Amino acid sequence: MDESDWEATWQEHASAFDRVRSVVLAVPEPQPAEWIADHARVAESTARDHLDRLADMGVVTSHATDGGTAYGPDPAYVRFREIRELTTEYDSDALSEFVVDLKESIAELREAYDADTPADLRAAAAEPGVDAEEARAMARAAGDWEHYAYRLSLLEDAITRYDEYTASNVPA
Amino acid sequence: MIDALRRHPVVTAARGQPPSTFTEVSATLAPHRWGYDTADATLRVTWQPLDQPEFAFHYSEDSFDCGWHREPNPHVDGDAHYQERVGTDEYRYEPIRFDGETAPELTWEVMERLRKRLDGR
Repeated sequence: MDESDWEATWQEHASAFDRVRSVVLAVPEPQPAEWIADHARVAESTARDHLDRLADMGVVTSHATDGGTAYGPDPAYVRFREIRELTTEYDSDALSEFVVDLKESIAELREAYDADTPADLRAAAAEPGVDAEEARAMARAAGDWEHYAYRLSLLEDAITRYDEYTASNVPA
Repeated sequence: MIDALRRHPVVTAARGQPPSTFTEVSATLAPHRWGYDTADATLRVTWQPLDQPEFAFHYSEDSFDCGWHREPNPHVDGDAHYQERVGTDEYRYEPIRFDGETAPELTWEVMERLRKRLDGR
């Protein structure tokens, strides 16, 4: 398709800062400012300014690499953003029900693959004798399992500190 | 991509679903803002963070659904494809190529592809 159409719509509805933020928060591995600028459709100098600001705000973490500085999402920021969404959208009873659902989902994977952890499942997928399609399904299940474990840890945090996270006053 | 969806002018709401496992994002759309009249338009997005991420952006309205997917499938050569059907007919598939690479780029790209597809209906 004509690339310029969606790029123009994106640029019209999201500022350069928003585009840099959304791209850097979506990278699975830290990336240099040049790469982020390219994907956010901004000049490299603009990307550097916004990445520095995002790092000051604790949204982004910079990493020293052989090729220079790389930027990626700050894990504590990402984690707290998810927790805040949970405590804003749901009450603590609902959150407790989600914990039950997640634990069931994890138990189903543990039973289906006879593995104790996602790492065990990944190791089993790499064993000789496992065909490519099966290995792929196992890798996918391990990914789901890690995702469920992450969501479970968010929920446990949200429930434990629900009152603090939803309080109208914060200590000075 | 939930942030990118929430910023899009045709998306009225976007949430992780189911709320416990959060395996997909479900968005409610208002295509009348593109001049296309329909009720109950939704977009479901799944994203598998593999080395080469697999994903599906799938639009549904009454009696029509279509999607832009990148995942293994038996219908076209390669993983990236478009599929659509009217009512409960068989899906029609075609191979495609995505321009974007990251989740926000792909979100805006797919929404533009959707706008054009609905414009042609």
